[in-house]
Amino acid sequence: MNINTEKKNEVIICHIDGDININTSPQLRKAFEEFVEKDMKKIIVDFSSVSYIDSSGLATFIELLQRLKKSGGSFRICSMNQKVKNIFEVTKLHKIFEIFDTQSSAENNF
Amino acid sequence: MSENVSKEEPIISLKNVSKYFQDKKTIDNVSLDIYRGETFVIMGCSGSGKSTMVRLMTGILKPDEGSIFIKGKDIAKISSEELDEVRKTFGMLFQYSALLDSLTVEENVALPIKEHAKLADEIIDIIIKMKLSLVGLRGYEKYYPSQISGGMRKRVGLARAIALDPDIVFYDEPTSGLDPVVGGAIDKLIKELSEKLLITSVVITHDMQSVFNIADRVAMIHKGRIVDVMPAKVLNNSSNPYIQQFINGRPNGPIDFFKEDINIEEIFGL
Repeated sequence: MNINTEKKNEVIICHIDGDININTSPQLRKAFEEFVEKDMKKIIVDFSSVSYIDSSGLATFIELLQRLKKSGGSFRICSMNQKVKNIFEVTKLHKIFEIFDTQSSAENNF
Repeated sequence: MSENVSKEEPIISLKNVSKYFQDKKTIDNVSLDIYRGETFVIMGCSGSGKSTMVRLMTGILKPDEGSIFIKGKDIAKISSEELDEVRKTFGMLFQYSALLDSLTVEENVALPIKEHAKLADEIIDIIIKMKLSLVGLRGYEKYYPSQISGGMRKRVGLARAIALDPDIVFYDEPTSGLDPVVGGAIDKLIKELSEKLLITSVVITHDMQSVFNIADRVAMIHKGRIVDVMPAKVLNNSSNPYIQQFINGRPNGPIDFFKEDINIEEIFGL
């Protein structure tokens, strides 16, 4: 899994490439910890190159949401494929995350 | 799922598998394909060989003859490290839940996660909450197994079985020791989780109600041999005398336990 980040104004856009699983999710958690430590309040996570996310990956996103809620920040997820979207829906997590079809729609009014 | 079972590559494939204990052939030349996403029930009487079948499929036992392919890998021939990797994709619900009484519900569910992965405690805590909520046990994290009912213990066992997002879950008598209502609720949960999480389920049972509740396909095993394999919906109409005797619980038929023509002299060496 590769993580590339870019900054657009005050928004961090995080592009993930590869599966988010029990072996790779600690790397993602580390990246998220850095965002929180640097007090970044607006994060967009681009899922266009993610084909699978397991429970450890979902838990990593829940933890980020918990941390950002405390610090007054928020994050959005965009460009999920249908398989990944199903995983969020089955676990009902689509209800707690802000999910957008495209990166540009996620950037809108953020 | 029953109508849409993939007929492409079987996720589990047994080819001419035999297993001996002492001189007795417990599994006798069994060939069987189980497909991704289906709920496959192996039914048979006590001592028919169904538990041995699951032990073979999970790599606990090695076959004396034949091959067992899991996702294309012959598990009897791979190294123990490779077998461990394959096993990480299995979940197992044991007959009596097999929870550790000295550990809380959350500690029991955490066991396989801590064994197989290096994750932060905070992440493990969130995974446990997710799994317990999937089996309807949110809020029971701090309870001990002795403080909850048999049906709840099964659900904890189920949460533990799916802790590592398995592709395949093996269920050993999932409804044994439960009343029909709680058993039915466990069946519903197994079916729901299989469909929602796209899990292939292999269930061994002799609980006919459970078979009708959950099975897509059924294999009947007797004396270590597969007597028949068929979709669950045609089970009632099967003309196979073994199936008819089993599903109707008749003492007489081709499944014989108490041989009436035993030679009493031979038993005592007379």
